[in-house]
Amino acid sequence: MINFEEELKKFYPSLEVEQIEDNIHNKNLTDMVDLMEEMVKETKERH
Amino acid sequence: MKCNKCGATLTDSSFCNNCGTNVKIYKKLISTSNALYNRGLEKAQVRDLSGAKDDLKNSLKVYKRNIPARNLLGLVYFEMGDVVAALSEWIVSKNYQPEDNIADKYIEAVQNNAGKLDAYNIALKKYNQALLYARTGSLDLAVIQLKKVLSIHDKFVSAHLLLALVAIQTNQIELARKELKKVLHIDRGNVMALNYFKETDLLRGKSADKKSSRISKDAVAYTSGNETIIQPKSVSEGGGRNVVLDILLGLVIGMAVCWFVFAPAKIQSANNTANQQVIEYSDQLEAKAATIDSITKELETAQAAATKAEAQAAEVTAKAEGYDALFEAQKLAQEEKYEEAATALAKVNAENLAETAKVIYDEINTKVNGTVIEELYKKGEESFKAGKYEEAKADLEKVVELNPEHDYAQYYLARSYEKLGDTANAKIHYQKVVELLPATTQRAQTAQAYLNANP
Repeated sequence: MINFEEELKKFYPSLEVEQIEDNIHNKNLTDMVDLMEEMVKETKERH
Repeated sequence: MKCNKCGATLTDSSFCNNCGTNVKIYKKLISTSNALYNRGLEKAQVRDLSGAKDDLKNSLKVYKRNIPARNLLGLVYFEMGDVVAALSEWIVSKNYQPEDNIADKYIEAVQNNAGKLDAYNIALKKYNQALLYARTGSLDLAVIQLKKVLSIHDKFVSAHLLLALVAIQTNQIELARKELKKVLHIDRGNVMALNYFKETDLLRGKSADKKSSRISKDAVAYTSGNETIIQPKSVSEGGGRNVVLDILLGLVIGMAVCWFVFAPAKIQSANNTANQQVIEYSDQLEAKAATIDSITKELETAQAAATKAEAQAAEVTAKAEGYDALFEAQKLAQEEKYEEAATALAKVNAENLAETAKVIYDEINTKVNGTVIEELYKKGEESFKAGKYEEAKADLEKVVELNPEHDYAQYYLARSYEKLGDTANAKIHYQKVVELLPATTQRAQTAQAYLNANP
């Protein structure tokens, strides 16, 4: 049986067109390539 | 594939030929990202948009500069009605690869259609309002608002899902199923929609179970090809006698059905047709009656006009005749034929004459009448004195007719009647004499004496 209150929590307010810019700025664009590069950099620094 | 350090094109080697960087892991990551993109593309092609979205997001988490993956993710968002997310992905994509990027076309297509973009934005605002209604328990308002949203933006998956959830909560199972079908039409792999659909199946199943349990007691179900056949347990092969009985019973029932079901319908249909015809005929009759009325009125108007015209013509004729008679009278008066002139003048109606003609008429009338009266009186008096009372009476009658105040004419006329033994007429004219003359005159006294003698 569905719990209405719980299901309702899965819905979020939709972003409006005026908020596109904010949405892009707040995007976490870190990918695994960035992480790899950081790890390589840290490893080099240690040595 | 390009080196993540210097941007040089990489070969099969694990190191960059330009800067010497170890690109083994980098290549692996790119390969993983591409594999995820391919899987996402496959899912998108079969409309499993949720699955595609997850794969594409994962692809971008591995390698954010995977332009095809980002552009496709934008398209998936757009197809699911999330315009803002779609535009965000395409803008980021364009930022990573400003040249030769299909995201350009997508952004242009959306931004050039300002009306549509405004409509999407209104739908998004209304969706947020509906979500607020749902959270505060105003479920009816939420339903109304969501229906408005979907009338503007029918591919808005989140709105369909929220409407389905609210519909389930308010026990509008069919509405919920309708919305969920729409979601699954857009996105076949939408887990939330599938779960809700299952829930609606369960809710419907409760009533269906009751029906099926009833069937299971009285029937045997078996499958033939693609169809499930439910056969009542009581069906059994009967004997020949039963068959004849069944046929007869069937015939009776068939006839009864014809009589009670089809016959009334047929009669009703015939009645309706007849009524329709009666209405049509009534309409036609009314139309014709109206036409007849109109024609009658026209006829009356025409008759009135004709009567008026005839009257005018008669008036004109009378006037013309009056003028003719006037001219005739004038001519006769000039020839001194006064009696004939008086006869002609009698035909003239002075009221129909113009002012100038009236003056002429009065002149002739005075002249002719005066002369005629005197001549007639003279003749009458002479006849009376000669003892010709009948002739005297005829002439004097004319005189008093033309001039009732001619006292001598009245006197001799009265005496003529007296001589002729017509006491009644004699008294009338003697009475006139008494009225016209002073009582001291001889004629008045004679008249009074007669009246006294013949009361």
